[in-house]
Amino acid sequence: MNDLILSSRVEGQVLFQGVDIYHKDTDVIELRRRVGMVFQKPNPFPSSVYENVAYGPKIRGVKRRSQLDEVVENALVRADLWEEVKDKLNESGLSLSGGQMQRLCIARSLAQQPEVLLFDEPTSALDPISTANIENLLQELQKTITIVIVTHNMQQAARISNYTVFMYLGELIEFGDTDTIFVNPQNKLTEEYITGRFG
Amino acid sequence: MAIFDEELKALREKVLKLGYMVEDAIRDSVKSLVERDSALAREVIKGDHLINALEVKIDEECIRLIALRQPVARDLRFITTTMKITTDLERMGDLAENICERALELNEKPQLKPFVNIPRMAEITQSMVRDALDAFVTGCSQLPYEVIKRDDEVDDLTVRNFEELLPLMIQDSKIIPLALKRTYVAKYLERIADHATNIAEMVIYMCKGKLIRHMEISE
Repeated sequence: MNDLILSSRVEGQVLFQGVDIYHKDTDVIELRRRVGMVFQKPNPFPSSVYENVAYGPKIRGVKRRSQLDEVVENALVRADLWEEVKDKLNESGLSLSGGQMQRLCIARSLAQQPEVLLFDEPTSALDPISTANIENLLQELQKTITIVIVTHNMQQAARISNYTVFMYLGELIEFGDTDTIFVNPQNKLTEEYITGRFG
Repeated sequence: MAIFDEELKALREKVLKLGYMVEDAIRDSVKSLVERDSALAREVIKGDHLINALEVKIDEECIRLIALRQPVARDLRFITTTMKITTDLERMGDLAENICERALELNEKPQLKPFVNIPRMAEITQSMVRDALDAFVTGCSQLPYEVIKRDDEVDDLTVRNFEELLPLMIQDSKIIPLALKRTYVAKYLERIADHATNIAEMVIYMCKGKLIRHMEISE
């Protein structure tokens, strides 16, 4: 699909569990189930809280109401949102606060039972308390799901990650334990960047 | 220069200033003993509070920078190193004060024998302090490793100093109080050299990100 964008082309490989995701035989629908994504700006579907979470399982063929109820509740509990929305499951997902909407998007991804969750600056549009909530949630989720998070907030990377990759203009500059990257980075460019002396 | 860089530079200069004050205190304390200059000893004792005050000021500045600037990588290592070596420097100041107190007592009595080991120890110790601080300022080199090696010489002289006084004490028990005070002075200098070693070890940490305390130096 990326090839459809003018002035962009795909090169190289992205291996997921040893399989190149750009291979023509890759089932992209299945790939999108296994690799979830949460964006910078919360983007719930313009439907109820319940439907937001039930959408994926329904597409997958889960039809029984009781089973859907269970999946939705589970996902909302894991996204630490259940207590706040259990009495308004039929209200619009767009009526929630920013932090709640972001957790709703996380619940929507979780309902798909993903193996990997990609987060693209998931807290950049949130206040500090909502940010802390999301960060705590990520700490909990990372016990069972591999989480890749893009952040421009150095402290956030230091706080919540086990490993850090520093990328610059499309190049991977340094990869290492988060401890090492923030205490004793090996690459000069990494050091300049994280200490704020870039450019 | 960015504000943070200026703050770090100012902090480094404060540490250096503290270093100079401590070096002076060590030099003058030994001088007051060897040259039997009690006025000088009293001056060093009187000046110790300035060292203490600067130590507190540096600590406060480090805490402020950690809170406000959230330093990482080399900045973090620099600031944590500064906090630790400042404590070592302040302790050296206290030990110089202790030397002066013994000098005041010893200067009251006739000299037991000329000082040989103690001036030599003072010389090595001062060079260790100076080089450790130079390494802190100029960054990564062999210098801190050399400082650490020199500590053995000071340890040997401490032992020799005691061994030379021991037969005198056996011969004439009346001189024991005086001889003991001279061994204390040697011990203080030996402790100062240990603190200089700590500084050198922290400088190596600052440069390499590797804690080498309580390890055998291979480099």
